[in-house]
Amino acid sequence: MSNTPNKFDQLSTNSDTEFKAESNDENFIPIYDSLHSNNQSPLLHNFDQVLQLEEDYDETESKSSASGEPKFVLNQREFDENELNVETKSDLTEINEKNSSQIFSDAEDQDTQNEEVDLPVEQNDEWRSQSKHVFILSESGKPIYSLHGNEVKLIAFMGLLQALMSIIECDNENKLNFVVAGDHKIAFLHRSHLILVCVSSEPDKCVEQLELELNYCYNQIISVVTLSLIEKIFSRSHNYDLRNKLTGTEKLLTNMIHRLKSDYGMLLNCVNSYPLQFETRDQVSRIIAQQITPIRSVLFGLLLFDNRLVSLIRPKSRNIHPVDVHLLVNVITGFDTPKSVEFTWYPICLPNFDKNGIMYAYISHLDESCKTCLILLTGMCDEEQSIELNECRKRIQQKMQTQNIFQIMNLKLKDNSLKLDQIGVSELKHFLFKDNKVFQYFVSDYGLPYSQSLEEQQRIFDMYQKLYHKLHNKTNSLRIIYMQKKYETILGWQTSNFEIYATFSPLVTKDITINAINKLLEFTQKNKSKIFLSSMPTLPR
Amino acid sequence: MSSQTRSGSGGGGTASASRTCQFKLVLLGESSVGKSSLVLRFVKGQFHEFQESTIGAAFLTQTVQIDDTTVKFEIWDTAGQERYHSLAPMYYRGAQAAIVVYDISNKESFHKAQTWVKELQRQASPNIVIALAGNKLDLANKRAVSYEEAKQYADEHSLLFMETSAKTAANVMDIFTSIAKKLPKSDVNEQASRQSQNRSGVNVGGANQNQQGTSGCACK
Repeated sequence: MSNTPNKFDQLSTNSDTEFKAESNDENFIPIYDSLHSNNQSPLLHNFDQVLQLEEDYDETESKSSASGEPKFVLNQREFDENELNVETKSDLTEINEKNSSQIFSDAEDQDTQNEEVDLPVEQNDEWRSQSKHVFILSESGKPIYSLHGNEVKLIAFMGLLQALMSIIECDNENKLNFVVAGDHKIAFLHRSHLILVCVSSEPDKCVEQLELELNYCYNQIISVVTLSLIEKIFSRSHNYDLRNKLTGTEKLLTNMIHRLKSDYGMLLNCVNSYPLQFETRDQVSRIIAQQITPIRSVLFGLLLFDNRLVSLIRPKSRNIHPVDVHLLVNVITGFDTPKSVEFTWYPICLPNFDKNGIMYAYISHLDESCKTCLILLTGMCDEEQSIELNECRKRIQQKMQTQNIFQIMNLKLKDNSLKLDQIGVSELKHFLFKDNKVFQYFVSDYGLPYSQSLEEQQRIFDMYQKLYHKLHNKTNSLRIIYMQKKYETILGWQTSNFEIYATFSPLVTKDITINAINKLLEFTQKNKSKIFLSSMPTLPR
Repeated sequence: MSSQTRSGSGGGGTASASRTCQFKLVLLGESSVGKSSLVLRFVKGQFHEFQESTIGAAFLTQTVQIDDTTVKFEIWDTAGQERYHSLAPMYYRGAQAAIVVYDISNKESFHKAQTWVKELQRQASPNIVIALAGNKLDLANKRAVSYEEAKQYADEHSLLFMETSAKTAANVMDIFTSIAKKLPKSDVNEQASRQSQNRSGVNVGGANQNQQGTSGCACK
């Protein structure tokens, strides 16, 4: 412990003995040494209470006695009190040395401090009962985001998380991945000056899933501030309050976490494509490509319907990563833009395209229902550029209107050709097909009884999620998982070309499943051109 | 419409009977003072109690009739958050009008408005028409900025000034029409030429170079 490097300022300078003094605690509770460094410690603010208390002592004591000596008396007295504290509560500690320049306090102690004076979020039953928490903080423990509760009020708790992380990772060799504590799983992600923590008591979530979700949150933050800016800010001042750069986008994080609950595309690292006749899709793509090709600065053109990709126009040499598409969709679903807004001009960083650069997204809804959305990505920030794109959008909109494309797309929502019953195996209740070549997936509708209940559908999602992480576990090379469970039989199958996740009725036989899977493959093969985006025109860039 | 006519936003066609002018107007001010609400009231006559915060910048258009002139406003409703501040020049550059908004129940937002005015007068085009809007007049009982104080400030800096309420629609139409009236509707050529100068100054370099430039300016 004593050779802790100065990586984290709050933990850097405690001596060996001080740590030992703590070690008789029942639980392992890290200590903060929040005032040791001269830097403004982020934890400092929350120690106001403590400080206040000490100042009061200082005043009363110095009034009643002469200078010099009373200081010592004060300290002595405090110390006695603390020892008493230890005996009764066994959770220390507040040691005060001269001029309140050094305070050692552990997190639990602080909780109790808070309880008496201010409303501590951690003690709030509603807060505690949440099945999922996501916390984001800087390496120095400064709160950035919390899914539930005001992050500023959680400063002590964030400090605890930061301490856990830094104690494990202080020698630069270890990495804290997760902690399982009873029903709770706690996943950690430490990336470029940020610490992301997910605490979940959801029974169906495995640690890998929590890590995946934290990765999305990390990417969401990068998409707002860029990696280079984070590096720059924190190398200059590691106590920086990153919320300054994120104001107004907390909602995006919350929306992202919410979507992760049931979005197959985000789970499978796939684009959500919108099924459409090949001819219609081709028609749409041609219109867009034709209009944006002359505008040299446009890199990508995306057309979404119902937040799913209809068409993607890209330069020949570059592709857009599914995660980046999810980030773009997150902007659209996360903010409710008034209909009268012709377009929004939004600076965004796509971490898988260039994690250090900003692109500009021209976002405009093309129809009254706001279901069709055009996104044009450009490297030019010039506002005149956006006006040019607006003219381009008008032309695209007009062409699509004259070719009746909005109507066709709307009709497709009621299309029956892709229904589950087309496969003709009644035991097959639901399936998910991922094409590993195009990074797109197809999800079927739900058979009975699942179609009746959203909860059941969520349960299927959670089962697939577990299957997915089992199949993708690096330490185990299972290719097929077949599980006969209480309410259903589920199957996961992974090959280099595709992945299948399927739900059958519980008493299905293996023969029937094999038959069903074969039919399912036939079905997807036959409908490939409809389900997936393929052979899109590219931009000559 | 050709892009040339568009970018010369100082004015459109000057038909003999009724002229059409096109002006670029930008809204600036601290976050949640009601910029989007003002615009939405002006463009749609609507008001939402819980207006979502703007991301990046939203573009809207609205046309008003002033005597024999049709004035088309191209409105840039910018996000008020501090992190977007460095992007603001992109929107007020070449703008003929700006509305700087503050919340009359929030003193701080008035101070912020003053810094916006200062920035505009220093960096925007010299004959930009600036209006100061003290929004949320419906919250007069929580007033933190007096009418006199703001009026005096506006007079000293030769700004149009009105207290508005997007909620009750008070003075919303008026502030836009006063701006429209004050805007010069003649110097089309001068506007257009300056605009093109501006553009050539910005468009140098490929997409990559611009990308770097923007990430740099976002770093501020």
